[in-house]
Amino acid sequence: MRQSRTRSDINKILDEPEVDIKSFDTIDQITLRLRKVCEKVSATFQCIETSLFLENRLEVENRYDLIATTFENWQGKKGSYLPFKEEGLTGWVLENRRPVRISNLSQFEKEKTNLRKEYEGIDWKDSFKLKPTAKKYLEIPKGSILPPLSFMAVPVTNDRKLLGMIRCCTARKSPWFFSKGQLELLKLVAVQIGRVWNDWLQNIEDNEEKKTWKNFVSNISYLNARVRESINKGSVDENTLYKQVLDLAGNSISQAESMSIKLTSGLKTHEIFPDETPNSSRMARPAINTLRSGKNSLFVHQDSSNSAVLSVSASDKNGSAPNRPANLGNSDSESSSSGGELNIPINVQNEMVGVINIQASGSKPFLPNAARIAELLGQQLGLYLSLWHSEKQQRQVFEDLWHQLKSPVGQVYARARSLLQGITYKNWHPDDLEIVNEIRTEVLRLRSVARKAKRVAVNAGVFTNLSTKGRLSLNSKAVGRLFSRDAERILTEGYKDTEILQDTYGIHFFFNGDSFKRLEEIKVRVDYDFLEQAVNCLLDNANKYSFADTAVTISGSEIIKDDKRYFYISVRNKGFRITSTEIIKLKERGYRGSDAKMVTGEGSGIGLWVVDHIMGAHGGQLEIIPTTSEGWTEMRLLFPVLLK
Amino acid sequence: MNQDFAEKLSLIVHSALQKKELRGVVDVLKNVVEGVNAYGCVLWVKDPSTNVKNVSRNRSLYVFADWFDEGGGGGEPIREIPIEESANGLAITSEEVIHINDLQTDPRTFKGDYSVHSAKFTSMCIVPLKFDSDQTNATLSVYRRGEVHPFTPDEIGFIKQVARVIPSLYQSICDKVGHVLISTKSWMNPK
Repeated sequence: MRQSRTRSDINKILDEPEVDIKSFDTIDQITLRLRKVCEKVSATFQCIETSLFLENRLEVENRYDLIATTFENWQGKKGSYLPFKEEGLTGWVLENRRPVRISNLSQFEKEKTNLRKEYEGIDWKDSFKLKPTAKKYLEIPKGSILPPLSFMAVPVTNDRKLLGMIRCCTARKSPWFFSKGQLELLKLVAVQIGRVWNDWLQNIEDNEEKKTWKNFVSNISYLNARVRESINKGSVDENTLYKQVLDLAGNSISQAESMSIKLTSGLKTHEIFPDETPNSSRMARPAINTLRSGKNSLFVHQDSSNSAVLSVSASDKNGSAPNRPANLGNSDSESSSSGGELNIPINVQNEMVGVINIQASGSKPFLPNAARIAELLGQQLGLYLSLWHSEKQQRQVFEDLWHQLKSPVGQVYARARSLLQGITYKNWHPDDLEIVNEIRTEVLRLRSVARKAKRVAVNAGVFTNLSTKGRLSLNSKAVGRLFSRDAERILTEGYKDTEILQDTYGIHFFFNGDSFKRLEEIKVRVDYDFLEQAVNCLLDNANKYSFADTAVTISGSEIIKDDKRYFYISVRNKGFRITSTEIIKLKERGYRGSDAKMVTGEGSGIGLWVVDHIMGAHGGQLEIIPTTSEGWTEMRLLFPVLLK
Repeated sequence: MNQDFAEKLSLIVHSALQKKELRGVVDVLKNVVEGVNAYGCVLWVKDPSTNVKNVSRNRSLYVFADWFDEGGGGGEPIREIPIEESANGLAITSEEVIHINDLQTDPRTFKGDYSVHSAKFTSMCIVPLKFDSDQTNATLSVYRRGEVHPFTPDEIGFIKQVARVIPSLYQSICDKVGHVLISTKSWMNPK
């Protein structure tokens, strides 16, 4: 809509059936046309100079380059520009976004007070050296009278955005003064220039953006395929992955001068710089490794900095080069302090693990799509890491489960073999109670070891189920009403097996059987296999994390929570503290896996995660009560009480 | 105003309305000079960038446009005269037409080198006007040189009529110039 309006306006001004701004591919083409505009304005107003200064936002923001001029002394002077804060008449026009018309510059000092009533704060320091300079330019002999030196300037805007200014100086012949009418006309010219310039910039930006996105999509598809392949092989080299992502950022964001990935953990910072660009030398970079990628040589750098500040800084709006004679600077010899920086968070499962930092070159601002591309790269990298970590975790869990299963299975085999040998070869009598007790103890050991093996096997099954289906279902064959005797059996066997199997360091289990009598009056349905699994996990944890010579109590009770009635099995112990902030994390996969390994040498970190899912499948809850001031930590398995 | 001057005025207006350059206003001045058989004509204005009503000391009138027979007769061209010490300034402040029989002897006139020695102005007719302003800020000054030859009442009437229409004529020229400027085909045509 905006474009068609602009096109129509342009056609109206130009009295042309079709003028295609899109045909101007280069700045030279558009400036040539704008030069013709200046020439036309100069001819119409009989000016000695008409100059056009425009902001080329594709190159530098807030700097107004001399795009076209009829003033011979400035012609061909490439790279001349007006800084935004230029002191003087043109600077006043840019800063105030108002037109100015001064009839006779040679009277500026004399008329300054009056002029300031109309143009607040206007000043022009060059007024003192005007006469000799003007005489030189106008080739008027010394001592001769100057003609009136008229001046007018108008800001060039589009949609309220300042794009630059056009100015006219000094008539060649009478009429000598620029009139109000001429100023109005110049305003009209400025409006049209604003539209044409903005249209041209927009067109270049659109083309650039299309090209960038096309390139980005193609590159990211390639990277996706590579990462997927690496994940499937189980051999993702994270350093290579970071390099590939930064390489992609460099290829897709043309203004990017240096890029880095800063990770909040692992004490790593990865940085990539395009090789040997003129501005890259001003950045400190203790490179330890050089990698080749595409046409650029890239440095991958690691240091101990792990801080990441999330911020997006815009270019320095006041960044400007010092003033130059005749209000002109030169971009060839000076670097602007503008530019930009993008810091994009990398999130893995809702947690920020780092940032991608992209810095623009000293003068070139980012194109509007740069932030979006960087954001997508951040998300993509987060996804890659998430997939890779998940894959790694899964592999680790299976490996841990395998080790956990291997040990009890081996023990069962060895103990059963040994028991059979004893029974076969020992000369014993069935009435020999001592031997019978020995056999019973050994069988109990066998049961506890087998129970452990069963627990690991169920865990593996649940884990597989959850990994593939994302949810857990109860086995209808194993589901039945829970009576007190069953609860007592499962819990008693559970803690006894725990005592038998593990070195309990004087940890004593107290079972309150009476508290389960209530189960005769209320209806609670459970999957017996899963109940056993959940109970054993809680007892195992209580045993693992309790201090020596402390008690673990097991009881049952009823509770109403959120208007729902539950029967719960409680396991309380005194040991490692659990804070309220840890409660949610405890139910996550792998949270205490490493702690468990430190305590017992085994543990996959999926125990409570599995229990949580088991309780969910029952319509119940795993409730973890943070450690009380008396040191009690309690875990409850809440089963819904069914209506009769 | 007699028939002859009425026709001259009509021709001036008609001719000015055909102009497509700002320079057209100079042709109007030329037509005035020729119409009254004078030597030159100047459109004087106060600095138009200021809209100050009270004229302060040391302020000047500047040439907005001028035309002189044979290019003005050599010497430094006239560019600026003081408001306080000139008949033109007096015409603006009094807002009355001033007729000078002889610039060389009239005490109200500014006697600059160009006026007295180069151009040797004598008779002069000054009409105040509002030019591009809502205040009297300009004069149309018609000059004779050499022998003293005062302007007749008909000539003064003619000059007054031209002065009355000259701001509108200039505005009309500006409008035409503007139209030409913004409708120029060669502006952005890529051909």
